[in-house]
Amino acid sequence: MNKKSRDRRLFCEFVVPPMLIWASVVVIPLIYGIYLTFSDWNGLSPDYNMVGLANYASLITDQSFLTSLGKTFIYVFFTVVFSNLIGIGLALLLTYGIKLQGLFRTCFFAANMIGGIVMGYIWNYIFSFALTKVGEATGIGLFETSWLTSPGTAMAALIVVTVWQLGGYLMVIYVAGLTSISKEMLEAAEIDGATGFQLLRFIKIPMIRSSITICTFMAISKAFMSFDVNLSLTAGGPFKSTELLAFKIYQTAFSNFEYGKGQAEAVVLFIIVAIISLVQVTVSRRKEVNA
Amino acid sequence: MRKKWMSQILAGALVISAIAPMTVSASEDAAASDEPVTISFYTTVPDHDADFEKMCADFMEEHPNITVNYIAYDSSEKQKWMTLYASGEAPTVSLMDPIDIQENIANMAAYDPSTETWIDQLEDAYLDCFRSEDGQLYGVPNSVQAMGIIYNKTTIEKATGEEFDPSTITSSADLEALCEKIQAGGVSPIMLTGVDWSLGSHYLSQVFSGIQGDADAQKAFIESLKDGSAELKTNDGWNGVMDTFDIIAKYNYNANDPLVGNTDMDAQAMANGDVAMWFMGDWGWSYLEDVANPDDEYGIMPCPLTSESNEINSLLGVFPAKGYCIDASQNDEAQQAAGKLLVEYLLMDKAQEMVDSLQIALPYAADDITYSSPLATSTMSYIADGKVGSTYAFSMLLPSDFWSENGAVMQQYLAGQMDRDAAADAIQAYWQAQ
Amino acid sequence: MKEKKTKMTAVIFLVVLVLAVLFVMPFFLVILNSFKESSEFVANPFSWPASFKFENYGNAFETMNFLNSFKNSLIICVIATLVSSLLSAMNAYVISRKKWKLTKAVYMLLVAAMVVPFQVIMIPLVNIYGSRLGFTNNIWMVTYIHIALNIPFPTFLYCGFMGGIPVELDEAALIDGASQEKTFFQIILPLLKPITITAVVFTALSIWNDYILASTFLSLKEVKTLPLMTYAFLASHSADYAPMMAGLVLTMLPVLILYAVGQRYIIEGIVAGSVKG
Repeated sequence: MNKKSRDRRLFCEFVVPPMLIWASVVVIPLIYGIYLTFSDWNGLSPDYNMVGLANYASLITDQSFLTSLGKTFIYVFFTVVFSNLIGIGLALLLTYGIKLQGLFRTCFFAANMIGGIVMGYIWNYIFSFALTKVGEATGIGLFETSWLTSPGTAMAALIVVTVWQLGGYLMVIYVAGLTSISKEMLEAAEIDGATGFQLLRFIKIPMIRSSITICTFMAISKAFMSFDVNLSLTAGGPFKSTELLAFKIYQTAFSNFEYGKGQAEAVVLFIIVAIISLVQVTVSRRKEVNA
Repeated sequence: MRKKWMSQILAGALVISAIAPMTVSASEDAAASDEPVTISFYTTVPDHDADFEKMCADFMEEHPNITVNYIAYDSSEKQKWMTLYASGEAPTVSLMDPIDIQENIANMAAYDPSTETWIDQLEDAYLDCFRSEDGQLYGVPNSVQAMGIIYNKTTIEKATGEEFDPSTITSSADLEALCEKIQAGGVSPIMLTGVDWSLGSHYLSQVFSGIQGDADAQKAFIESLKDGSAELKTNDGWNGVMDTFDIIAKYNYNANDPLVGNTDMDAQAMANGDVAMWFMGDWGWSYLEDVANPDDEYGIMPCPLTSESNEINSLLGVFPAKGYCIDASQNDEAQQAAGKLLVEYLLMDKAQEMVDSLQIALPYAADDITYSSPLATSTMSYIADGKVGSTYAFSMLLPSDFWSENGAVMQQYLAGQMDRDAAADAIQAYWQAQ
Repeated sequence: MKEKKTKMTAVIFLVVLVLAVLFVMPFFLVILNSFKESSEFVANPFSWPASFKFENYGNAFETMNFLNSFKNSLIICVIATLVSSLLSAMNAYVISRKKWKLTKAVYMLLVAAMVVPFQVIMIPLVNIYGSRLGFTNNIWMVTYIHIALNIPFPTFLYCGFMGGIPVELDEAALIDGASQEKTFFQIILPLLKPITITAVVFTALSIWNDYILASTFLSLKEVKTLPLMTYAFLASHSADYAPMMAGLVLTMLPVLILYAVGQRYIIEGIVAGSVKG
């Protein structure tokens, strides 16, 4: 058997089965789903009409869709930056070799044990009632009224909760990356007199490039898809100021009986996120190679 | 060693799962009436699954040939409904909001009041919310609810030192005077829950309902807003309703941070006697039930909508909350018939159980029913006295997204970020975009 | 030098301790409030329970139909996680070792696939597999879909990790006459242990907490999973908080244990195999 046919067999055994399973669940429904964006189906009725690009056309002029898109970008930017900084920070602290390291890692990861909807409810209580009590007691103006009742602070609250949850999640990937740096390399550098910062700048960060790629990608896609916390923490409020795109899609498709339009919004979101992540992954992978 | 233990558990779980039937079939075909038939029942009433399941079990005992699969709602109510339809598992009977039934009558089976004579007992006004344009009936209400001002009589009397009679509140001026007196007694007079569904759906709906006249007048008013021949901001109904809103907002217990909007906290404040009145509805008892002091007297009264005495201020806004509809698109005739039997059973035979479980008022007069919710009792007494205001627009004319879109406007108004004319313009713009 | 390091360790320990307390606070609140009356929670979520109400757990256990729901969750989670992780590792092996145009395309496809909003495929998915093929209320269907949905991300993780495993290892095995398949299973797969554990933890977690997919396909009590049953406590405008919190604790306990155990193996895995040298 020559190399080519051996490779072909390997491909059929290792790549084709997972890709077929994946395609049957994602690609086929996706095509069907895109087809439905050209219809006026309400999600329930036995029949519907094809309306061409009308759903997409209505999005371009839909002010609330564009506003929501803008807010989503702001939210994603802050979430991605802070969750990665916190993830790396925690991972560095937790690979230093302190006592109870394992227990602490579990603690930081714990935020991910609870599903987003319930998490949002709990934080809702913290912002509405616990922090306001702190505000009353200490007179700190920032906490005197609930963060969830004015647009700016409600968005901040949404970002805080997401970062809090995502930071612990990304930490796990960064820990895996950092622990795989060989001890000999670090020790050699230390013997050469490298300071802690130099170790970080010239060894640790370059060695976890692939973790950074993965984590940035994760953060971007999770932030764009953010729905659960949005629903239960702010429910888009106050007065629709925190309606992120994924939440808005849900509202349109399922609460307003405008399935076709909601589906079109979702496809637009998909295209935007797909482009951004592909660019991000391609660029960072290229950098990894050069590093 | 431990690995072995783990794998044994795992193997055990697999064996159990292989033996136990994992697929439960939810639909079977049946032709004759005594042949076995399987139907499904979907409710959008949260938190009462155990009660509904028990009622279904009782029904199956009485009708041994019918199997009812109860489907609890475990995600957003409409999303779950759509999913069930998309998966070919459309529930035979669904308990839904009137507007949801209305927008999907293409899927539904009509009731036939000539053969289903029990329908005669239901009030016509409520049935109208489930009729199609050609007069066919596609749903029957399971209950009625009332929106208005919940009052804690005990708290009011303690604060004012006077006997309180809700029928003396005949105008928004009376309400303001009462608030002033309660405040002087050291108690916060009234409260709004600053959530979009309360402000946008319930409070704001009063602008378009009875205050505009009968059902046809309400329809005409909304049409005139849509075509621009009328202006919301100069409408008397709008200004009356918003004047009352200003009064409530002025004396609002939550004025410091009006948009917090948590019904549990608000109920707690009411139960503690920190606040005397609450714009909400008789369903508010489900929040109050567990925390209320059993010696306190509670009731619900209409929200006054004009500054001078007017008959309309004595009428309580009562509406059918949810209705039972029967699917015809994926259920055969035997299933539909069995579904209607179930609806009749729940509505008539199980009336007392339903009232006790959901703390709601029935859509028909029944002498032998006792209500444990003082608010439902209040509602029933308004109904018995014929003091019911029209809520036609609320049930029939406001689109599915009305509450969320305009609830946001009302929130901005309440938070002082929008003045009244701007709010009127925003709401009128909503209508014009329909 | 050594003294400085000890001092530094102490400082870091303190910083981490403070941060950890902040991080687990909400988590702690759930446990604390799972022992209270619902009204006590509403009055003050931070107060110590007036008396510990263990009945909440009994209540949650019963309402959630716990043993049955747990069994459903466990079957779905264990099988889907194991199958998807293995398939992903195989997939990633070819993608990262064979730099063909085809494998690059597969990789890009998977990256793009990870960002498909579930809403886009939800209704079509249930329409195809539920209505047309009749697999509603079937936990094997849900398992299958979870396997499929959890192929892209682990593949992505494995690809990143496999880049750090020297190709010389494969080449040596091939020269010894092993087939590529054998090389993967005997040489490469064991080296993937740390990333496998990471992938398993992430996948298991997302499947265990999955709510929307399960809710799409499972509507009868007999086949429901734990997160669906937690919803029994969550009403739209008011909720029975205390038993819900108890239910949550019961739901997340298994995952917490899995992570605590798995995380020990991550360290062991690193020490055992000199990966990424």
